[in-house]
Amino acid sequence: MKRKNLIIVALAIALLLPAVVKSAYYIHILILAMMYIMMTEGLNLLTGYVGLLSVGHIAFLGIGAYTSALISLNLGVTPLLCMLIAGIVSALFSFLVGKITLRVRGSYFVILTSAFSEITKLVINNSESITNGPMGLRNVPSPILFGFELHSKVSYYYFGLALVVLTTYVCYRIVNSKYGRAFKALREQEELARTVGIGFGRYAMVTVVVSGFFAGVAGSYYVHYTHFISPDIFGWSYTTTMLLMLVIGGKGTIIGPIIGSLLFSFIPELLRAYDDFRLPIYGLILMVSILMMPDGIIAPINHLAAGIQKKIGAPRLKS
Amino acid sequence: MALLEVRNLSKYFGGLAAVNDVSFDLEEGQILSLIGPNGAGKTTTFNMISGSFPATNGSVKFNGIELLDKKADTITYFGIGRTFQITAVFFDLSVFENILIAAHSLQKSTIADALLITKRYKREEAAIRERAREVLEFVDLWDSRDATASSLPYGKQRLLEIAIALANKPKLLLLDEPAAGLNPEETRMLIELIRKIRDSGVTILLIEHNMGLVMNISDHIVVLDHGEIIARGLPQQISQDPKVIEAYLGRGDAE
Repeated sequence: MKRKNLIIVALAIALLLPAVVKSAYYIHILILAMMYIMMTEGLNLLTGYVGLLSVGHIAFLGIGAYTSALISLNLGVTPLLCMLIAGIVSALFSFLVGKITLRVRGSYFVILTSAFSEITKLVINNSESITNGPMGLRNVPSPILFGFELHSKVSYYYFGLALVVLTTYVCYRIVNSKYGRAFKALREQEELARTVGIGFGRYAMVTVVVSGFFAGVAGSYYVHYTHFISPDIFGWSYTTTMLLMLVIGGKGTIIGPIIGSLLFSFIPELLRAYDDFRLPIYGLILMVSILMMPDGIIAPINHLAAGIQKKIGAPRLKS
Repeated sequence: MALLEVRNLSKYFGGLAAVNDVSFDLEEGQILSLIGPNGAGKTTTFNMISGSFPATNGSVKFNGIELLDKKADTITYFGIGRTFQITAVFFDLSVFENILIAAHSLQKSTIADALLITKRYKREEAAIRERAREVLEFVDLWDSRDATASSLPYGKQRLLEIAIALANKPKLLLLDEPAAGLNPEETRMLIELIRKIRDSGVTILLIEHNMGLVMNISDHIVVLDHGEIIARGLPQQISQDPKVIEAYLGRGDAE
């Protein structure tokens, strides 16, 4: 029950935020944070729950973004439908990539995923007749929802919020079902998991496809907001940012990626005031948080919550 | 027809025969023990039956179905449970959660069922919880259900391992040295448990070094040495068999 209240409070804050935050710039940051949440929640299934480190996840965002941009620009498909198609195309690609990459583990998996991301970037960069190469695609239209064009930042914020709620709900359901149990089993004792009928390939593939789908949707969400996409999206900085959000937020939890995404969307902005010291401070924050909180910021928060509960004598919250 | 028919089962590692031309039958409702000195090929035989690694040749029929071409993650669906020589449970999870995972193959619901919380999904979730209670009560671990598996004493971890193997209601249970490391009291309780499992209608294939246990509960015994069957029969016959005694103790004139 307690958790339900927490979710309601968080949602209420999210809904009321645009009424308080008048700065278009902060709304913009929040809109991008929504994209990161969609990405990291999906990636979390793969990296946090099954334990496979993918550094090529950005490729699926790119594929989604390009798919959405191309079919809305060339075929005039309405952006909302584009978003669904982008998700499906990305999921399809992740299925094919998964077929190859899931044969290997550990560092080999990391290398293959990074190779895939690089290849995707090169293909898009060089297919100038379709993707316009390094120049990118311009004038991607805004989505239209119930006859209302989501052109303003505030409307797009709410649109992103709805997608985030949907993504989080799906991930929550998955990790709290037999699938979630299967992921834990695989991470703990793969051989035993196999004997009780949980094969690695099948369950890892579920997370690969679901995370691919959300990455595609996130890409579409991104491109219909910025109206522009170029191969720069495949940059390493996006991949590292996403992994930081996941690890420092708390991988293997549902709330962790949300906290991480919000935090690392705003920290770099807040540090702009320190100009030259921005990057050193950023690096310091990373180092300290990884050393002090290897399980992510969610761990001390949970710990604190449990302590408060104990003090006020309320029944303990099951994490 | 026997429940489990092993025919000419062999496994070669290069030129070395780990298991050579092993054949035996296991009748439904019986306990068959596979014994032999270390390195005799017992666990290798087990691993081939459970699909953990491929046989060089031979056949293993379970209820008339060939098992050798099946993968390890599918044999549970045919009704086979197994334990491992070195205790394998999900150590970081609660005892209850261990069994929920182990009952995985009883659930047919898909990801769509999980997302939409369908009737089937709810029914299956309730059913495996009930099953987990049943199994844990059966092995007498119900009181420890909320404990983390790693916090259990060793004897109870071994019981949990058996409970995991039983969770999906197997017809055949493969136990790999369940008494290893147990004290005499725990061993006595294990003997009772294995009997109870057999009486509940589960057929058991057992690897064990504890001769007291083996002689006490086996209906049949197959003795392996250097990958080959050197003797088979009832417990009384085996304990008298000079070849078996020789395999275990060595020949009088050996160095």
